[in-house]
Amino acid sequence: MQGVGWPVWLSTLCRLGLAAVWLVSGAIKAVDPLQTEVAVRAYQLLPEPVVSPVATTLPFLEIGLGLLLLLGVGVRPVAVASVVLLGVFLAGVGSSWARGLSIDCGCFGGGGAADVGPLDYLAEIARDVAFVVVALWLVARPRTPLATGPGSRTSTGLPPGGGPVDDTGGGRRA
Amino acid sequence: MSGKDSKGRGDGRPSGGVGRGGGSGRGVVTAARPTQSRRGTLVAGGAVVLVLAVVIGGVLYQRSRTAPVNDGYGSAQSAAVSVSNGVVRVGATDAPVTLDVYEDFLCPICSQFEGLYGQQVAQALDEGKVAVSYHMLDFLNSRSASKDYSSRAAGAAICVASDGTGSAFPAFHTALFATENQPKEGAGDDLSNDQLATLAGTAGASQSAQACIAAGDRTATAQAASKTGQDALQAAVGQVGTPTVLNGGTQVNINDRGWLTSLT
Repeated sequence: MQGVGWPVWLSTLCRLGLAAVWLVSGAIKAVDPLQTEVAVRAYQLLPEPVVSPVATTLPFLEIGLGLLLLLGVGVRPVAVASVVLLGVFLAGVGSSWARGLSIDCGCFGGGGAADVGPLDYLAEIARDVAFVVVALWLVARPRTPLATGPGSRTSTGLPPGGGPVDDTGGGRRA
Repeated sequence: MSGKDSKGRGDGRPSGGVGRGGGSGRGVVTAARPTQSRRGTLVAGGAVVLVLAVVIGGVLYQRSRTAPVNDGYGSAQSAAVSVSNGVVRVGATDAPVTLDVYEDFLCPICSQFEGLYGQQVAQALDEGKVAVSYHMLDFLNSRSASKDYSSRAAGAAICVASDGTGSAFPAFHTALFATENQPKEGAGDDLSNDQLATLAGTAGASQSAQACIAAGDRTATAQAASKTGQDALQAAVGQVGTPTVLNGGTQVNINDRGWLTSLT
């Protein structure tokens, strides 16, 4: 625990974990644009002319956030953006439940009408809340080793000469 | 967060010297390496540009991929229309390719499919390159407010097709799948028979066809045809899902944007 403490490793885990979440959810939506549009429309929250542009853009917004986290660029602002986007999703799922809609959230593919009950909604909300917690941790502690961005990298592990000699992390990398 | 590289590595706290996780002892060393941090900024800038390019490129690609094919053509105008056992066949009798299209009028992805390819299919029908047998299923009935919307809509389409007017069935078929007309799955209301009749009238259906719809005269025919169609679909591809397009019993990959041109 000398030099690099556990928070840095937790941050690394959070960063890569949240990157995986965004990349996977974005990629699944991107490869099935028709289903994604159905999923967005099913929330019945957006006016019809906006549904298609949102369905087209959202997957790549998620992939962009995932790539930035993977590369470790601007981790804190990206984490803030993640919290905001997850908040939008939570509001959408919560409002669907409140309005008595029975839809699949389409979070990781799928979407549209489905036979879902309170437990399904609770599970979706709990999952998104867990992601929010991960993102909030990164807002508080964005710095990790092996990150590209200057504001996102820990200075430890980089000796004066420059090369990434990592004294503690080798065996614990995710 | 955009803090100077030289100090304050403790996550925004002006810690200078005693931060825990930041390893601030060595942070002091980096202060003597301005070139290092400038290079870091360049790398980060490059990464941001790369990610932006991926995102913008992806959105543009997706837009081109989801734009309606042959937009502006409208629905088929001059193709022959006939009905046999509740299956509506559109297109010339000697068309080189006859496709079997399985749809449910409540199915939202069928609406997407029609929006994307409907006008391309329409032109191919008019030009005699293909014929289409429409198998109008009703397996989504339970997700409609009336619990029988799919059957009634399919019955309405049979009423219109039986009437013989060439352009009315394609226009009504398009109208039923239009986003502004199609009821939502699980929604609190759908279209009544009278509303279906009015929609058919707008599409060019005759008075007698509208009366047929309003009375629900072909709903039972549609239900029987749906049962036959679901069995055929199950036998052909092992499941009942819509939209499904078969060419001679083989499923066509409609996620490939060029699926129709590769058949004609």
